[in-house]
Amino acid sequence: MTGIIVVTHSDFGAYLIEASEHVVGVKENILSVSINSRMSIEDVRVNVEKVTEEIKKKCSDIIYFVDIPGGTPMNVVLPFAKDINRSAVVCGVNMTMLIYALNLKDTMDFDALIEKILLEGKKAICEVKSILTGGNK
Amino acid sequence: MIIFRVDDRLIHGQVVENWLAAFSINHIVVSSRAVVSDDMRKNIMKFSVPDGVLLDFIDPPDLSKFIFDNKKNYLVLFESLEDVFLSVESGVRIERLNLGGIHYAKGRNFSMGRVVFLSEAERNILKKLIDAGIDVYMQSIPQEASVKLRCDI
Repeated sequence: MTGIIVVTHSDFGAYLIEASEHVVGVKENILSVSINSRMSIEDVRVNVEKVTEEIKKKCSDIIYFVDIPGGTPMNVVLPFAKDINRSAVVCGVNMTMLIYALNLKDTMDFDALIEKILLEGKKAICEVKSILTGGNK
Repeated sequence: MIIFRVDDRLIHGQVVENWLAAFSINHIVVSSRAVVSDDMRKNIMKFSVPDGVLLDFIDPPDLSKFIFDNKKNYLVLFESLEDVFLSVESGVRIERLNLGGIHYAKGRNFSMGRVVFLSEAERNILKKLIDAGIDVYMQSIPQEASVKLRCDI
């Protein structure tokens, strides 16, 4: 089974999960970690370790979603992901990619799942007013 | 121009998305005892630095040997006040020191502000740095007002 952990600045990740589940329904094996300015790196690490262990109880595979490349969530998550054979760290989490991850996890091969998530997440970033004037996206 | 900053998160969102552009930084020097021998952390930081910005890792006692080009804009990142002290002891001259993030941990009982907490030992180091004439100020991002630390902390 594949677990999902969303690690972000502030409670962005928790709200993103809430919003995504509003669309696709409540799913299992998905947790978040919020980082605030009062936490030390060690606090963040302890929290990421806690949720990682929790997810590992049921899941062999883990997808970590983080917000910005180079941010603290990414920096803290990478060393954990390194020690998990089938895991991925996906930067730039958005609602579309999380929805795809929630819907498709446990239905396809891990590498293909990651590829699909990245594809759909990137596709969702677009300007759409041009549709009205007949322009192409 | 050289900005000296203490930030226990070193290269992270505030640095990558904010300080670099705000001061047209083209060279980052990470000066941390712990990072010098930690290839994984070095690799993560290399990934995080935008194209066109150089990155060096220098052990704090060796920072005095690093040659700064006065036509370039540098951001020197220390992981701790100990790292600053080691570099100053070895001869690095710092006029102003930015405290950008020394987060709360057990034993850091002196709260200086929202993102700066010090242990007794760190407070003593900070006093020495201020006594040595360094203008120390707290500021986590450029848009935030800087708060000067006085020697009677």
